[in-house]
Amino acid sequence: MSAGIRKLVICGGGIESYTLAHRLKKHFSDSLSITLIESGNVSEPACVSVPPAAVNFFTSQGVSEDVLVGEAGGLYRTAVLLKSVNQGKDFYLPFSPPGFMLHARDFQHFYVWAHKKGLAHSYDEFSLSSMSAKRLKFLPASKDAGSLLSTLNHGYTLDVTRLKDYLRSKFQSMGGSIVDGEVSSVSLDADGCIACLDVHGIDDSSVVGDFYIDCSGEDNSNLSSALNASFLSERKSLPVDSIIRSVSSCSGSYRPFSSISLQGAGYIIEQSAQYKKQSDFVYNSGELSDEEAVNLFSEYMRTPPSDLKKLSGQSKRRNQFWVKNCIFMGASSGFLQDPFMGTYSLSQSSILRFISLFPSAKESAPLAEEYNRLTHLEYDCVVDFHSLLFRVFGLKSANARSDSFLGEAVSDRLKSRVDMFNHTGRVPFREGDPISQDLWVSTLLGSGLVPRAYDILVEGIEPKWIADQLKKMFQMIDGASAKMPYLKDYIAQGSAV
Amino acid sequence: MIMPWKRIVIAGGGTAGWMVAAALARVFGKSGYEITLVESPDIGPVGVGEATIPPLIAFNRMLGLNEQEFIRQTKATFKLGIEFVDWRSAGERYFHGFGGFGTAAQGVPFYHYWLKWKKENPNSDLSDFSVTASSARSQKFIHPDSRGAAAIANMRYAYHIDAGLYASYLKHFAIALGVKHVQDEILDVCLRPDNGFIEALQLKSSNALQGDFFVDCTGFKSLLLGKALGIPYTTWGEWLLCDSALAVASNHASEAISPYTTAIAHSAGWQWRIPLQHRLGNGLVYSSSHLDHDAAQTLLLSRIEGEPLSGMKNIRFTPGVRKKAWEKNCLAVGLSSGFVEPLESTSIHLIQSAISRLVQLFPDADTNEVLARQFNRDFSSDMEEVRDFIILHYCLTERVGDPFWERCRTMSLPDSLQEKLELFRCSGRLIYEQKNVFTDINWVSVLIGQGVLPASHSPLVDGIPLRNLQTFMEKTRSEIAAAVDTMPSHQSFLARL
Repeated sequence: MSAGIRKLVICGGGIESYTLAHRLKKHFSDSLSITLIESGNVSEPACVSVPPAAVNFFTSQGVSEDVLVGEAGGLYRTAVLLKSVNQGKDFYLPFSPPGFMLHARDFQHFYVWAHKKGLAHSYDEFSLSSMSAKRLKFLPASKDAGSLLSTLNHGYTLDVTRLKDYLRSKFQSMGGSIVDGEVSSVSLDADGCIACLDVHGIDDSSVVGDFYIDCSGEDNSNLSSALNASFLSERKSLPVDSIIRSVSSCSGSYRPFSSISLQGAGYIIEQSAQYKKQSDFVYNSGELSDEEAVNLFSEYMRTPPSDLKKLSGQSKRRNQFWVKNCIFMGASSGFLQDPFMGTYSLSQSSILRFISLFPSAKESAPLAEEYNRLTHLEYDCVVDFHSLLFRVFGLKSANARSDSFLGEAVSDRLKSRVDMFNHTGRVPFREGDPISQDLWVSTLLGSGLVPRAYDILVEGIEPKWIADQLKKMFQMIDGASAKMPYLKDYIAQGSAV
Repeated sequence: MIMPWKRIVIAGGGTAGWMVAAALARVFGKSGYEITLVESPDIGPVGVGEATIPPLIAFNRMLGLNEQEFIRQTKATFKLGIEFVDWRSAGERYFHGFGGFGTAAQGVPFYHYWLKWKKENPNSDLSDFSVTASSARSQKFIHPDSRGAAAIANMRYAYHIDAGLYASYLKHFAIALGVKHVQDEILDVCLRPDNGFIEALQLKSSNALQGDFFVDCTGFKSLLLGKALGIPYTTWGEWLLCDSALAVASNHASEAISPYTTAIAHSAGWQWRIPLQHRLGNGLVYSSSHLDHDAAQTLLLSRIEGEPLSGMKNIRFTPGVRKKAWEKNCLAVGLSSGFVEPLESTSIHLIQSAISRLVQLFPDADTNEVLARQFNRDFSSDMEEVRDFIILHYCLTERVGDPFWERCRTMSLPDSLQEKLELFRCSGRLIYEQKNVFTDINWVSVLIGQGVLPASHSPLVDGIPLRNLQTFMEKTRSEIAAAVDTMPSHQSFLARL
């Protein structure tokens, strides 16, 4: 019934495409016809990790947790393990913020105050989700607002193939149509908008739409060349460009966290869902030849090199994400590496943004401009956070080679953020930032960067009282996490019900 | 080792000065801070800004004030919003209420449903779907209550207060908490020769008043920040043409005390009507290049209800803002940092938000510079947000004939406002950004109230069949009407306190 957009075409057969297709069907049912062009040539991860924002995303899409961690084989995740970051110590970057406010001041100030006085605990030891992750335990947040367990947060590690199959069949049962094949050419209309796509498949066909979303993940898809869409390099902030991937099956030992560790001139990300484990070695090809990288990683993984898959992973983003009547989403929108908020998480927030700005005509310059502005703001924040995570490893590293790759310039935005933290113990925050203030503070403190100052009002409070409060907090959190069930048992119990 | 700045000097004892004193005394408690407020016995407060906006409730709560006591002390009444009369054109009125519209469904703001509804029902009035606007129109009031009907949970309110009484109420409060009160005239501001920081205030009849940190609440004079530290003033006269105000109190002419402010446009500005318990506050805001002083006086006297209770107060102002509010060891709060006319009752709010930021960012010698930078960034964006929102009321007029309004209608706008208007006009969407003072609801109320009907609404609304939309809209309206029916009159609500 929408006057302008009646037919929407999605290119690409990956998880982003199906998430978007299913979401739009949910919102518009029959008033929008959706065609998905499923390219056979998808190179997709086996597992993706998503932060707590995904919980609401899936709930509002009508995909329940029973599905996500049941038939779709995902796992709950409450922290990211940063291996040996601060003087060789592990740090669990938590999804629920450490500690509690005292006297209406944020906990971090009391922590820094106590740390300067020789407090032995690390920052993550005050977070229930870090402590439970460390113990391989899990509980979802309690609905009882008075309970300590109500402060918990979780995200997931999802099994891409299983979740995609689920969304695909839902989409089809809701009347969405799927075309198998590759886009072979693009026709533009007089305004320079896409008029139709020719698809080369079992049967050649032509697909006509009012609006197009390119989720094909191809660097230079036919759509992007037709619209002259280009990329900006993020190589300076995120100086890695290559990935070697190992996927293995796993069962039994469930970990409620993903992990990152420094390895040679790169880092290794490990994430596991219920049935699959994926390990990626991410490195800079200028520092390490592919052969060296494969040897290094196969030794680390104890797998033959033939089981490893080489992928390209240039850091970049689109100049413009929404051009004419087309949006580039998912890997087609760029790649900001994956240490925390990966491509799939960014697509989820792009999907929400697209829906809130859904156009009523083929071309709507003010909406496109707003979409592009907001997407760039989000990408800025994610680039900075990932760039910080790279630096976190750099702080620890004694390896000259990796220092050169991690020590490259960071953006002025990140500099001023870290500067503010260093001087005041606080980080600035803007509404809409995809990375919460708590995550910034946890990462900075977890990496061993102790700010020079903290909230001056802490000085006015009786020191013994603060020390007692911290002790009590630690005991509460330690005790509560010890009592939680193991993730393995929690899942087993859930599937039994 | 942190060296706290423990001697805080507040210069000026108007509404701003005593709000700062009360809040700092409350927050610092007995932690060894020494707060002194110096005010001249001869200088009276400017005393505009008797209407407030909802966040004042949170400020009072932070101080620990009891609402009933506050209402008694300040002769307050409740305020549900502002009725704008003759702004769009003579005879047209609209209500800008504080509470939201209807109930959100599917994550799409309610007004999108209304925009679609409006196409079928051209006479429909958006304010019928606002519980605050509807209760204001019936002269009724009740506190929001999340336990009862959904409509009542949506109530939002602020107060009309006697600002002079509020200042003296807070004065007793602050002095009881240990604030030192010095009644003396400030002769000079002494700067340290080495770094230009303020060292002391030279007083007329006592010793110089030394301090570590100074809060400038000296009103338009801006003795510390403007005069001593030389921070320049940016004027916004090209967009905000009014530069004068006349104020006079009158007695109530009728029984009913309206729970809202009235803002009535006249040929060269507007007139306010603010009901307190014991009197009406009246004022005329005008452009002195379009209306001379005598004509303004005559106009105001001809338009007030009841008998004037006092002589007329005359205020001249230059709309604009200091380049920074915080420079060296001095922060300006209130009129000394900038002034935008009281059309949306922002004066007291801007004081309050400066105070809450100061409390969060209280400095010492080491952190001062970084904290000041952060404060100034937020301060400028707040002031610009208020500026744009006020200009909006003027630039959307359809009045013809008066040179003042001709100019308002045709002037070029700040880019930030121009972009907002363009996006709203074409799509009904608002630019997503950090909004610290006004929310989307405020913007929508004024945009639609002034007659801007966007070319399209969110297509998500089109998924609903027209018949269901009709049921939904009628149900919402009748729920609101039923809730308003159960409310007591504002008059009797006040009497019961």
